[in-house]
Parts: sequence; C-alpha cells; structure tokens
Amino acid sequence: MENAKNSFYIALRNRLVQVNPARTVLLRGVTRPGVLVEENELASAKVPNDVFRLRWSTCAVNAQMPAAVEQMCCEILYSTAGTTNNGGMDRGQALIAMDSELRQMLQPTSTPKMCFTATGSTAMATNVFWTAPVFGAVSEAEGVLTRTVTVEVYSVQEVGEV
Amino acid sequence: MGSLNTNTATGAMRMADALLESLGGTSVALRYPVTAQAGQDAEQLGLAAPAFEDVALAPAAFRRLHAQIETDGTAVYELLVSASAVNAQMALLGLSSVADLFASGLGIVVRGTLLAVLGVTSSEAFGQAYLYRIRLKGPQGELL
Repeated sequence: MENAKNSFYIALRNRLVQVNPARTVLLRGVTRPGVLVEENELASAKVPNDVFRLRWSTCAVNAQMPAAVEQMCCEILYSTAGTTNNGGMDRGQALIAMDSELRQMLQPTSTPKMCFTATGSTAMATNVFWTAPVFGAVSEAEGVLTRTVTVEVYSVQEVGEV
Repeated sequence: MGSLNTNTATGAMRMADALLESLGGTSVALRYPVTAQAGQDAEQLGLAAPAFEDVALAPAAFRRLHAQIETDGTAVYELLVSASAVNAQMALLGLSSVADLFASGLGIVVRGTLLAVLGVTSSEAFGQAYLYRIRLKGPQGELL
C-alpha cells in the first residue's frame, strides 16, 4: 500500500505545479507545492490554510481477484480564510478555486505506480487508479472554510509488495 | 549627564534574568527540525526523518504547575524563560515571531526529556516582553 499512497501523493503534487504553480507552502524552511501528507509531517506543526492536506483513513485488500487489489480511502482536506486584506470576504471564491484545482489534479484518474526509497524511485509494472472525488459539505469555524473531499484509491498488489 | 531612568524594557529583562538565575538558572533546549532538503521526495513521503537540533534557552526556571495530574499519566509543567534568551534564538533562526518559534519546534528538552508545548504567554513591561511562561506536558514524577 505504501507505494500506491506515495505514487498518488507525488502525482497530485506534480500536477498541482502544472495547475497552479503559485499555490505553495513553506514547511521547515523550504517552499514546496501546496500539497502535503499529514502523517509525513511533524505532528506538532501548525495546520496551514490554502494547502491540500492528504489524510489516509480506511484500507482493505480484496484477495478474491486473480491479483490482490488494495483499496485505500484518501481524505483531502483544505481550508481557506480568503485574503486577509479583504477581510476574508473572498473566502468563498478562494474555496471554489481550490475545488477547481483539485478536480484538475485528479484528472486523469490514474498514475504509474512507483517504488520510493530514501535514495530514489523506480517504476513498477502497474498503475494506481482512483474514483471520482466526492466533495463533502463546507464547514466554517472562525471565518475559515474547510472542505473534505474523499477519493478511493486502488492498486494491484505486485510481487514483493506488502 | 546620562539618564538615570531605569524604567525601561531592558531593565525589566535584566531583572527577569537575575530572578531566573537566582532560582537556579536552569538551561533547557528547544528541539528544532533543521531546514528540510529542497526537492527531496523521501522527506515528503516520510521515508527519511529530518535531523533535529537543540537550541539552548537560558536562564530558565522549571516547575510543576499546581498539583495538576492528567488521567493519562502525564503532568503539566511550567517553564519560565528569559525573553533575552528567546529573542537571541529567534534572531539566530531568522524567525519573526515567538509564535513561529514555538510552533515550528518539536518541543522543549528538560533534563533529557522532551516535553510538548501546550501554550505560551508573556509578561510585558513598556510594551516589550521580558519573560515567557511556557506550559508543557510530559511524564509525571521523573523531572522534579
């Protein structure tokens, strides 16, 4: 599952650079594309606005198929308070812009599966693919709009994968 | 003739330093992740842990806050740190606010134990902080 999760994140990150290169985040002194995996960042870190945050929740393996198929649920969360100088009056527009960017990042709905290690990556034999996004209702707290989008990510378990 | 007016923020900071030194002058350290490696997928994927460094904060005074004991076996502590020490580290790390300093840190190391930061408040004189009061959470019974 690790390779599928990593491949999905890297695909979204690289696609965001094409969709909106201006959406970035400063994390530990380095400016990166504005998408991150929560479980890979410092637990004590402050949650940034205007950034896509990937959170992995449920997972399952269907072993009834000729090759085992992994299914993982990815929740993509994003929050915005709009522009400070506008008093946040454009926060609805900012959220719609992020909705649109995410839809574009999720197309096409597959990416080659890669095996990532601390020193590099190698291509694997199959693809990672996912369902159409389900956009959840917007919640608001202290002028910050937050939406959670759910995507089911699938991957065929290759030989040697755990 | 030079001014003999001692009612300054600097004076308050010196007074806080002297007070903390008289209380034992403990030295603690803020554990801070070093700058991430740009363009490295491994760190973004959690395959390579970042390096951490400890930056000293002194003088400081460390104590248990009331008799407050959490149900999960932890206790809440209070750390009083001189603003001069905090200001020096902020300048060294190139940060613009105290909130950024503590938010980007992993926690505070006291006598070899890493404690999580729950909150930070300051005491001010003449519009300038001279002492920071940091609430910490950690194991009970081992530190005091």
